[in-house]
Amino acid sequence: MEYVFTLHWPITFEVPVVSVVLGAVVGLSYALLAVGLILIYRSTRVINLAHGEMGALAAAVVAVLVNERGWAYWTAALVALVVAGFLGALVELVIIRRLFRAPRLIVLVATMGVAQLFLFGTYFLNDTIDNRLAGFPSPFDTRLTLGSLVLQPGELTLLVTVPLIAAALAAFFRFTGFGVAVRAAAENADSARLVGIPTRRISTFVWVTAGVLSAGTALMLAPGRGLTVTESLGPDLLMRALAAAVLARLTSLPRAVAAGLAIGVIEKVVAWNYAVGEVELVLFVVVMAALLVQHRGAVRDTEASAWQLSTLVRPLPRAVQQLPAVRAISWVGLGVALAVAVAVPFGLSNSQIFLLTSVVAFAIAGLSVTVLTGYSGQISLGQVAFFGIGAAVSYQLTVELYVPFWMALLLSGVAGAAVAVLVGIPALRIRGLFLAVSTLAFALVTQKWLLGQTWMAGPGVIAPRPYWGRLDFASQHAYYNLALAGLLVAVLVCRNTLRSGVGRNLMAVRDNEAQAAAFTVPVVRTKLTAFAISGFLAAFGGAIYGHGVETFQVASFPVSDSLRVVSMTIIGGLASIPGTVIGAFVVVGIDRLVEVQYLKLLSTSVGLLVLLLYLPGGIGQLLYAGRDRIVAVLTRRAGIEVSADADAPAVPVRAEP
Amino acid sequence: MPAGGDAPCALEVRDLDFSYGRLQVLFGVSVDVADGEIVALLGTNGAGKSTLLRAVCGLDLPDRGTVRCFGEDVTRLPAEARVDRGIVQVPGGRSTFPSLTVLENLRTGGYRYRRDRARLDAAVEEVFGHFPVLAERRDQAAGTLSGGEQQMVALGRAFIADPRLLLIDELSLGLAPVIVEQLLGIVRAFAARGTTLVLVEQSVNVALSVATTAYFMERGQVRFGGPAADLLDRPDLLRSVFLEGAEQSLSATPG
Repeated sequence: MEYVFTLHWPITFEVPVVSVVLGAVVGLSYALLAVGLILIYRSTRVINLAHGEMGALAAAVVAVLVNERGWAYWTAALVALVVAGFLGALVELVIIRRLFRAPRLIVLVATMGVAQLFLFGTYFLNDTIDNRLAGFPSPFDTRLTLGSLVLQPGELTLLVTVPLIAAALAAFFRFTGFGVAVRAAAENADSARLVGIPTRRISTFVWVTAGVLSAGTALMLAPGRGLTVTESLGPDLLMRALAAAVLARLTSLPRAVAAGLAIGVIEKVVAWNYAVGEVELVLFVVVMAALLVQHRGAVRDTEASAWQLSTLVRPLPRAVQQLPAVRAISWVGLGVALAVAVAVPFGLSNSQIFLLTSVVAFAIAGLSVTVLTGYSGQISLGQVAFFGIGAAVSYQLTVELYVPFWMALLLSGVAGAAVAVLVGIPALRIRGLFLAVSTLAFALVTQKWLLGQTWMAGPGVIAPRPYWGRLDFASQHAYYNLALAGLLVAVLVCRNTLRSGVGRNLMAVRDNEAQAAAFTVPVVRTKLTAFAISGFLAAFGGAIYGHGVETFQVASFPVSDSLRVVSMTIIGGLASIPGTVIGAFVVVGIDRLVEVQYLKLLSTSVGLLVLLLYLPGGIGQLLYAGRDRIVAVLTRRAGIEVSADADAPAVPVRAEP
Repeated sequence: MPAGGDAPCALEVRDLDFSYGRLQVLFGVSVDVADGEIVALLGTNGAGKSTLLRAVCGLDLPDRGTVRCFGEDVTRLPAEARVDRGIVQVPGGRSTFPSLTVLENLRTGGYRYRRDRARLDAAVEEVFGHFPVLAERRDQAAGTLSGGEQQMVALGRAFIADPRLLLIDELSLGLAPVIVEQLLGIVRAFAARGTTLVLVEQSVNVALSVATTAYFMERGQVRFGGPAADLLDRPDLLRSVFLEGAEQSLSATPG
């Protein structure tokens, strides 16, 4: 049954039945993941970036038990489901509950750390399997053949179970007292507690359910995808599940199933007609359109406020601020840091200096997040896209158009700013986690389609390093110094943005949009300005990175790097410039220095989680504590009386609810 | 266990200190409410009234001091456990679950006895008896109701929770007098059932129309506690509820 419906106008487009069926099957897996994402979003108000990884770990457990220990499939599957539920509970008890009052961005980054930790576990388990030829175990051997299409047992199970699971969950939330209580707790935790609903136990329950659902999805997907199910549960799959969840407005489970089906079918049919990259493009357009047509009511104000991040930096009293010695602190700090940065490469090998160059380039990308998220309160999980665009544009300008290097750096920054504004326009209507979804989609489309075009990076390019007569930046060391100068420029841009009227507008809109508008702050222009500055910085850093590496191609800018850029900013302390630079050093440094993939994941994830739980202000918090000590000494010497107010906590106190 | 006098104490707050972070909001607050009494808790904005309710209900825990209800020390109990002991609060502002229907909102009030369908249905019908408009809108999302109707839902939900001690935060805030009068109907029904009531109010008229005892708070401290009628003899305190801001701005303006 090789039926193909062909559309001849306006373009020739084929719709084969086989693709539709296959699309429906993969679409159901997206739907099931989307259901889990919606559950978590409803109870915790966060997108669980570790959702796929919970299931992948459970799938690895099944593979080990069946292939290595010879367990029966069903026993192993049951154990895996229990393990996944336990993992969900563990995440909720150890991390989510402790971050109950934290801004949702922090929780989002925490789930990112959890994802890496689970990935470590999965790699670890997969590596203990010797008998790799047997493939992923499967519950039965029935296969369904439709022409050239063979449906695997897992896929058949998906067809049957997903609609049932979604219907059962929807009924549970609609008709049972406990289910209604779960929804109530998600909407207004205080009110729920005041009628005796145990909100904490409910949160744990939801995470357990999500873990089990994720494990179920992975077990059904795995037989068709082989042992290394982990790689296939990465950003691509997450993005599709997220798209389905967003189309369902992160609430309706039946709509999530329908949306998942639609996405799956679109994906397979487009892939039949065009290349893989075009699939991402189409999906990006679908997600953006869906986000834009959603009316504003979909995102409630309560959520917007959960995104507010007040600066942790305590302002100094005016009299103290004006002391010459105090004013010198940041300049002295900058000078010392610069001197160290210039001195360090002497005595290092070329590859070590290259590592430092990447740290510097990523630090610039980190600063772009500092401006966008720290100053402006808008989240982006797609910064690496601007980074890659900057690298590709600068290459095209210097090599194809013979534009001078300086000019190319600047122009690629401008290109990044322009693209960022385009991506940011939807941000005027959507915010918070929805913005995270759209920027993540943009990062995917950039990696899979945009950068692959021959007029961007194509299959891989070599961007030359500049020279002017005797001033030659071809050596690693010389180029490092150039990159360092670029970082200095970026730091000054950030600092001046913060101190200018633009910076005050950014923070005013971040803290209270309506109030800012009432005081004639142009909200639209301010938000787009944040995107422009941020896009400029990221692309500028990307251009520096592009000329620094030997060659770069599409794979040089994986979407997961966007998450790492955000995590370095969080580690450094959001809205702290020196903290961000140190954060870049920690994240990129660990990544390149630790050779073994396992330990890399283990160290970054555990480090990130410990930091979030015990030092929520990041490294910046330590830096400013140090600054305050020095300032205190200087103040006492100058004989300035400091009022009790100056002793107020650096962490903002919550106003009366 | 009776505390102090002969009447058993529904609520006994002793020397409560409370802080949000390093910002202290309550300073040695003591309040006594006898069983079956209706008490008004008055005060200016930011006096700490809502904070006191949060501490009594267990949404936040105090730094020092004790909260005893019906003779039992509940100072450290979580909010859910206090509901089991009959302590329920109607929080201020819009406290409904906006995407849940009116009926679902009301049923959450009976969460503790959710398996007892008959009792739950009877309680819901009783609320519909007080607020017929809610019966008409039972399948409508609560977020789409008017402010007054949402307050009815919140009060109805608390009614179904069947409290022994009910604390109502800002019953009348922003509502038309006609609506307030309707809401007071169910408040009197609570009283008739023998429920002890604490009403936090900015409207002295509303509070004193039902309360027999009054407390007056200012800047985190209790400034007055006694029979409601006595408070009416203290124009200095009452004026501050309404006029403090105006007086300050008058004295600040030259001429």
